[in-house]
Amino acid sequence: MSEVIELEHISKQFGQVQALEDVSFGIEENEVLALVGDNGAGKSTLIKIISGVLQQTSGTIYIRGEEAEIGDYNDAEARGIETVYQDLAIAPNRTVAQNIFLGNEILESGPLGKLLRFVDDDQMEREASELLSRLELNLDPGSAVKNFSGGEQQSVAIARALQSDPDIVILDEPTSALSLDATQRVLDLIKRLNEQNVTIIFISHNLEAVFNVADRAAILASGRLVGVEDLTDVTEDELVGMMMGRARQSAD
Amino acid sequence: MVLMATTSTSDIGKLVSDRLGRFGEIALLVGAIVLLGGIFTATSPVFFSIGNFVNIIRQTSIVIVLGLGMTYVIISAEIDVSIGGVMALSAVSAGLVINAVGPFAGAVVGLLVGLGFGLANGLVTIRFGIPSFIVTIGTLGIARGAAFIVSQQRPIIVRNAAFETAFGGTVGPVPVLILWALGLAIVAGIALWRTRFGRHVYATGDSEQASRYSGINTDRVKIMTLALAGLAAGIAGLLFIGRLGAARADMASGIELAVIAAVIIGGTSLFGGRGSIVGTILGALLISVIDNGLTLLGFGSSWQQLIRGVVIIAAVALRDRDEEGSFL
Ligand SMILES: Nc1ncnc2c1ncn2[C@@H]1O[C@H](COP(=O)(O)OP(=O)(O)OP(=O)(O)O)[C@@H](O)[C@H]1O
Ligand SMILES: [Mg+2]
Repeated sequence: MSEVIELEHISKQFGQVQALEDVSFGIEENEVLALVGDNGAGKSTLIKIISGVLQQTSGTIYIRGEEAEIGDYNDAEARGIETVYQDLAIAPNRTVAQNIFLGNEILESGPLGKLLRFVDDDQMEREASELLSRLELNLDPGSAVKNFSGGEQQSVAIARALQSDPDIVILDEPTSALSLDATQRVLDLIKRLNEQNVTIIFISHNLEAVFNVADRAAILASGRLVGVEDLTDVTEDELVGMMMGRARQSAD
Repeated sequence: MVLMATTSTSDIGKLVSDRLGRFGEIALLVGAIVLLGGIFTATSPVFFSIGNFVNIIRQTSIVIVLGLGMTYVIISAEIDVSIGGVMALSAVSAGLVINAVGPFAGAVVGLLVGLGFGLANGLVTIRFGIPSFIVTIGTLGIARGAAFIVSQQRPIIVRNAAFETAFGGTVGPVPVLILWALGLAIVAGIALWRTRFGRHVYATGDSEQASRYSGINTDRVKIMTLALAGLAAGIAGLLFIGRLGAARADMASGIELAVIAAVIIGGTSLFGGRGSIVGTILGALLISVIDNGLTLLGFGSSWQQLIRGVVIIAAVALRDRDEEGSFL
């Protein structure tokens, strides 16, 4: 197994707050890695560093063996990384298609060729339709996102992340606002993506979901890495213990 | 049950926007203008005439030009209250340079003053994280004060044939002023509706976070919209000289309120993310029709201000609610 992302000594400070301290671990090609930990453990901070929203205070990220400076979204996208954020990142008054192609609009060749190019709404709606039906989501691509339920909006955010055919997808609490039914659909989607060789980092407080879809779990407590465990050889109780900051041995 | 029993204006507003959609709002504005036109036609013998219509549109042209920039700014969830002062400083500086050097140099200076102030508004707002409302209150004072200093408190008379032809003349029966406003509106409208930059303006105002997470440089978008508002103020300054042959430091005072009113009445959301150039034009026309009709009926500017206030509140109450349905 080769590692697609390798984190080395990642620390992040917000003023006085040490959100992450010396976190090192690797994410293997084509695995589903769950990132777990209590509220404020530093999970969102870590994935924002990987996706270019935040910069680490110190430490190095290697992607496919190469040192990577991920300065913004475009750097992450160029390396095949897409993220669905915890704080729902959708534009409510824009349509489903416009959200899916946000910042990535398809252009038609306008009257002046390359000099002046207009956005191609028809093409975006067509491609959005295709993507949505591939994800088995039944949403009108021309309708404003605010007209949909929380779960459907979450699906739009996920579809947005998948639009560029990423090979690493990060999902921060994708199911926290969802009904049981909608949660199961997101979990199924994660499994299906994984079958298509997408590497997935999945943050969740829902341990049942974690055991359901993930291969391994990285456990953070107060900004430190407690361990990375194969989920076939830990119990839920052991995992909870580690989330409280106890190393695994002391839980035995 | 108590909740269900309340019917508020926000329900009516929701009904209006749900049933009619975006184009419905436009139709509603056109309807309001036609209705008012009908009332004024019935009550004033002079209202319904080509001459008066040309007059209305000419009076509206400068507000429309300023409104183009303001529409971009408000859609991106910022505001610019400095445009009146910036317009005055642009006009005064342009006037002095036209008289001293020539019309072309004067026009360039007028535009640069507007663009420069707009860029400064944007850069200070973004780099220092100060709300644009506060920044532009400051630059309103700076620009207005500078206009008085530069003009030494005297009106600047501009007599330049080339300049008058370009900005103040007529093509057939149509004032050039109207053609400028129309041409600029078409460019601004297409850019907003059909280009990637325009989409990023909407997206930035709709959810700055979602836009930033999607790789849109929202800071740059906001700096650009404020710069455009400044440029529009510069253009308006030139049009003003063309129309009246003079510039004064105290010109266009309070015009920002009329412009913001036109933009808001035209359906642009103060919360950002929604709005259109067509709406702004209709909003400006609606205000002008009201002003014009009231004048013809013998009501003075105090009545115009009062009615304008009522119309703004009515427009916002009917439409511009936040997601929870409460008011601003
Ligand atoms: N932008 C910020 N500025 C200051 N402090 C921050 C910022 N973002 C996060 N923090 C702090 O960093 C710590 C880790 O936050 P983070 O959001 O990464 O936690 P989390 O594990 O995702 O928690 P949750 O499960 O609640 O989402 C917290 O103490 C938080 O208050
Ligand atoms: Mg979090």
